[in-house]
Amino acid sequence: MPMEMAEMVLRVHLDAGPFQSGVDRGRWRLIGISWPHVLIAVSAAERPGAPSEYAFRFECTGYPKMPPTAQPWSEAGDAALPHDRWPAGRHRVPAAFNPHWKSGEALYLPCDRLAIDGHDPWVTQHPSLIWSPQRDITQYVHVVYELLNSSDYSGLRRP
Amino acid sequence: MVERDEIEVFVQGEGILEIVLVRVLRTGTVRDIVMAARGVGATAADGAALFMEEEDSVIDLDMPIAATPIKHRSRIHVHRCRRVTVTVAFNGVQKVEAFPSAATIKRVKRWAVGNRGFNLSDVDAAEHVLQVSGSSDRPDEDVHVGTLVGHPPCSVSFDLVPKIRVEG
Repeated sequence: MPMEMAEMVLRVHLDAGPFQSGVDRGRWRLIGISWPHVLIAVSAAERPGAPSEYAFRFECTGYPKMPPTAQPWSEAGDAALPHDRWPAGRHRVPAAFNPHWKSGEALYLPCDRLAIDGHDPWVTQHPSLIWSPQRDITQYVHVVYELLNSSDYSGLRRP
Repeated sequence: MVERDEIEVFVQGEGILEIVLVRVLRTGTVRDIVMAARGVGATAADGAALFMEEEDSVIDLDMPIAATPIKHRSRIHVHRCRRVTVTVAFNGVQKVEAFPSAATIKRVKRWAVGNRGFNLSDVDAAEHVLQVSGSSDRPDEDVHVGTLVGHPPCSVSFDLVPKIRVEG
């Protein structure tokens, strides 16, 4: 079956400077692609009992015109990450990683396709976090990386 | 796949909006890197000089790559501005400092939140970010400050702003 244009564009972006710059710094790594899903591991600041990275499954239908949507993923189990293994924090982190919102199928971030739906005020409240079709998936991955390496991040929800 | 006689180099600089990853022959010259960057859409101007990341020592474009510090996956910067004047505003106060054009935003922020800047606590520093004045652009910490300026004026202004929880 011929590769969709969206998948071709995504693969080009994953090989390009912005994404590879983060790979080279050890900030994130590509685990694999099973279109329309791409699995990416994002490194996290060291916290007691917490992993050094979290995997996220990005669903990329319509990429890059449409933003991806992402959920924490168990690489070993190839399934959604159990809620007690999600990242926790004090303010910004638990707001973004909320397993009780949409049953944990998306992150509560303005750059997420499911989350932006119905949140028009975010366009003016969080313009730097709004998905831009002129950029690439690195913009979403970087938002996740920033949260997991912030002083707000405290480790696992239930270590 | 990178061939054995090739290296990949991350390039940023004047007119280069995103980090570009170019591939050149190990046996080539520094100028080949600049030409490769142009080949993938970068618009580094004639007369631009080449620097290693965080450095302001010019690397001669006609030197063989093998005779320079440039290695596989090195980070370089191409610009006509050797140094950039940075102004940061926070709580109604402005601080000014000059940086190499190839300095990263991470380095600029470290100065802005440090004791020569606004002297923020570690927690407060981690919860603030540099935003280009008059825009919503918050450059990633890997971005070279020179990519944000033209020649002239070789200067840029930021606001130091808090990271806000997403809610609503």
